[in-house]
Amino acid sequence: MGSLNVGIVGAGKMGLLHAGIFNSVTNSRLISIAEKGPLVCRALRGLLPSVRVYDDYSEMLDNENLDVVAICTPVFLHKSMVESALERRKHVLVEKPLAMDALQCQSIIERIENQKTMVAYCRRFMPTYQHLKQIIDSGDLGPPSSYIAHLFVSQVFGKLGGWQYDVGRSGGGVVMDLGCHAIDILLYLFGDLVSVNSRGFSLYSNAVEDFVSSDLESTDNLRGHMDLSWSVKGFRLPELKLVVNFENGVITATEKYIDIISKVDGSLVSKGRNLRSKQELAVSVPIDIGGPEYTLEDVHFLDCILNDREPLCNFYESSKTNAVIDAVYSSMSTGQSRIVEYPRRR
Amino acid sequence: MILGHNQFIGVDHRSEERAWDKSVHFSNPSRILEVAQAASESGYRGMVIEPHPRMLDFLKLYHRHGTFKMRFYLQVPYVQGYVQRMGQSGIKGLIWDLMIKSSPSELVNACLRSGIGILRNEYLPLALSGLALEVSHFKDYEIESVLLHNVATDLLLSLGLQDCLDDYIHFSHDVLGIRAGLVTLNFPLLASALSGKSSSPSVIVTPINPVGFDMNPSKDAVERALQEYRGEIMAMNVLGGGAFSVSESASYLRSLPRVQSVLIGASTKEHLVECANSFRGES
Repeated sequence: MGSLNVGIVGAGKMGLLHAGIFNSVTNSRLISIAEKGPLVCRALRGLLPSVRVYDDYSEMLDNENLDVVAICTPVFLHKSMVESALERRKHVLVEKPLAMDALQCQSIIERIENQKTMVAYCRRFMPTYQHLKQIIDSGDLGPPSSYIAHLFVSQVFGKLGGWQYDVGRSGGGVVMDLGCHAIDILLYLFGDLVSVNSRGFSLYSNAVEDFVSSDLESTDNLRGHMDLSWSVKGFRLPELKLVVNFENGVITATEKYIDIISKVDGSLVSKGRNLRSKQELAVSVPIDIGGPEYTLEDVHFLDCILNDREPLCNFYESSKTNAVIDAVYSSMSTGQSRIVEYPRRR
Repeated sequence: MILGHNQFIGVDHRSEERAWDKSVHFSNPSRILEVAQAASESGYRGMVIEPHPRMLDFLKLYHRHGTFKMRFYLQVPYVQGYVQRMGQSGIKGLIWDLMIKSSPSELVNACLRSGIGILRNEYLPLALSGLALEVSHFKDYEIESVLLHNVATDLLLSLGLQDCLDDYIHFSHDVLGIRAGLVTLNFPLLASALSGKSSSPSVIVTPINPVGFDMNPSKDAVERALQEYRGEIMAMNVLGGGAFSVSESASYLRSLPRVQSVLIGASTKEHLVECANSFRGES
């Protein structure tokens, strides 16, 4: 298996981005695209004669000899599409979050045989958070003692249309849309969360939450706090800011920088202040369309398939994010702390 | 020396706090005018703009002010604004936005061009009509070049649609009457795609800096491609939003053969002058 055949489901912004990357990197070839919208479908057929374009994803899965299927549709469509691809023994990449809730995730996980699976949690591939993970794992500053996280963007300041704001199709508001990135990174950095205590409210949206605040507790009694909102002014782009306290220092990390204040010299830090920008930490990629992290995640997925390794955020690991989201919503509705109930590994 | 525009519209590569600070500061277009004038006095010969409402306010002021001359490089499409608008109200909202801002004659032209394209099953005219509508808002200003945003250039390249870049260059020249430029984060790929084509862009804008940030697939590959490319190059991301020193960047850029201009996103007169002196080798 030298070059993997890739099919894309959904030709929106993320679908086209993954299509471009898979068409450009050495280990894959873009074979086909499935897209329901008739105008986009016709446009793609006209522009990409060497790519077969379908208006029905099942037909694409049946007709094409695909190794990999990348599903880039709204979350309410994920379960049926992902399960169809898994039943046909395809390796599956899906845009975040994996599904509407942990129950759907469990059903998806039950269908995995030996395929590689991954949810496109792109922040795991950003150099600042990767550097934070390396420092935590190095133990240079000692174990983390507490953290505060926020994920804010200036997006919703009135009643908006679209599936993201319709709870039946989105599964929720800012927690599902943006918060899943923050939760995924917290799980990546600190391991499983045991319990959450959340409260939230809507200021602009009719049916979904705009602001959520949560107290979190991990397996090793590490405690933290997370604020999420898509209605905060001053954030043209989403910012996930983490402030992590350690025995020997404190680290602040965002998409753009990591600022380490250390009381000690270590393998990755020097005593004093260590401010490192993404520009200093970034690596070149084979092709950059919308940000190097997207290329890095796709290349990582292909690499895992070709070398029989487990992807960083496989479906089981990513289903934990859905389980935490369920607990956040349950806590918000009951006003009580909630234990996180994770899906079972197959 | 060309003045960049990110700092004026709340874009900052270091942090969202700095971006917000600048966004608030430059919400008054007369402050943009002050920086542009200082740039002009420091020898900057042009300025990049995009169809952001704030830039249009600045241009009106520039037109009224009339005491200095700038050549403008207009970057299209307004990707960030479109992504935001699509997130809020879908593709229909986006098209509606473009339509209501256009004059009736521009709209008729765009509809005719797109309609004929759709009847022939050609969809590129539809996209080019959208660009034409964007550019039409700037018809009263001296536009040196229309720069295709790197997201668009690089997406077309990645999908093997090099012919669309060719069509864009012809469209810009023949229909808009403005030379076309291309912005890319993948310069070697673009240079290779352009070789043997009937048209060439007036300028390619691409990241060039001493640490190789945003230079894909590698710093070495970009340097090699620069040696071979015969067209005009404008370097961007030269200071990494302040992550690299001006003198180090200037000395690196002066060592490269084909870089004719440098894009600097400065916000103060002092920084403009420091960069101008360093990049000209006068400090």
